[in-house]
Amino acid sequence: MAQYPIEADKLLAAASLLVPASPGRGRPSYTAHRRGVSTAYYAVFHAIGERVVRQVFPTADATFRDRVRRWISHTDVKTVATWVGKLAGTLPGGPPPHIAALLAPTGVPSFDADTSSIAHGFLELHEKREQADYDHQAVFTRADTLGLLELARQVVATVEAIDSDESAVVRVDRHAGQSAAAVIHRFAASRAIGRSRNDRLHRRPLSGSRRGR
Amino acid sequence: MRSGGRYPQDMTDGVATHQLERFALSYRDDEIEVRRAIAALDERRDGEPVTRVTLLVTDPTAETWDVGRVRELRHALGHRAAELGLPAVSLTLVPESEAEVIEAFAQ
Repeated sequence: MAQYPIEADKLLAAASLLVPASPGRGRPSYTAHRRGVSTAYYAVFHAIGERVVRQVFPTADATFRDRVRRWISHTDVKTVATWVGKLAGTLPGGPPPHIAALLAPTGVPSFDADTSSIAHGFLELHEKREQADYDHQAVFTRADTLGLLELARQVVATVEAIDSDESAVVRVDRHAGQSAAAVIHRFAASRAIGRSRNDRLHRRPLSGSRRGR
Repeated sequence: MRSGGRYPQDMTDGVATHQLERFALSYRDDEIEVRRAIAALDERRDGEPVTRVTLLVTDPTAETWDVGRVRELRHALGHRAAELGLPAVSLTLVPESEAEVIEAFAQ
């Protein structure tokens, strides 16, 4: 069991400390706003990672789950969320044909509102986190920043509340079903695990004969 | 604050971003009224194009605007941008009361 786990609710609390609802007098700290947005994004990212691992390895011990959580990258989740946005029409273009066949088998997206809100919320916060951390020209007004923190709270609450039992995964496979957990978690996990497997193959130690050359 | 974006725009892009600004100004919501709109193409850190939309809007009645209403606004802008062939939208809301930002916004 991790002694110092990264927990979404603790990150949200830290974000609230940076951007309190009732500020004191004086000019607002835009640096604190940036840090608050970035922290709120990480709350969402880690909430998704936690559910991905619990979905894929429900009986694994905590140490193993902590290791697996590190496999899941920001790009994995962003890629899956972008597929959802493209199918929803809020992003240009479309997902790869095999993804469209699974998520929109009749041409109409088969995912539910929770899936859409998680995906769009993640993409918004991911973009804002990039701006908060790297874009010197970005502006984070107090009201907009508080709105982003509230968005993060809602996305985390949705991620933690959705049905993510294993039967939901099976239902999606067989019936192109509606489970938000299956759409976000299953695909993010498969991307992460696939990449991890490739990494291990590429980093395979050299054999004794090669090492001796 | 950026006023025109750093991404090179051709005439087609300029027309599309202008149409997106007009769409934003025509957006109607009981809580969020758009006073000014600026849309500009930019690049993300990873090089992906993005449409940065900055809206000057009425102050929220509470600390911030309702998340659901902002989501609807963001989705509406996203759909319109996709129709216009523009890349994904990144939305920034500026309340009228933040005077410093308003001055920069007007430049």
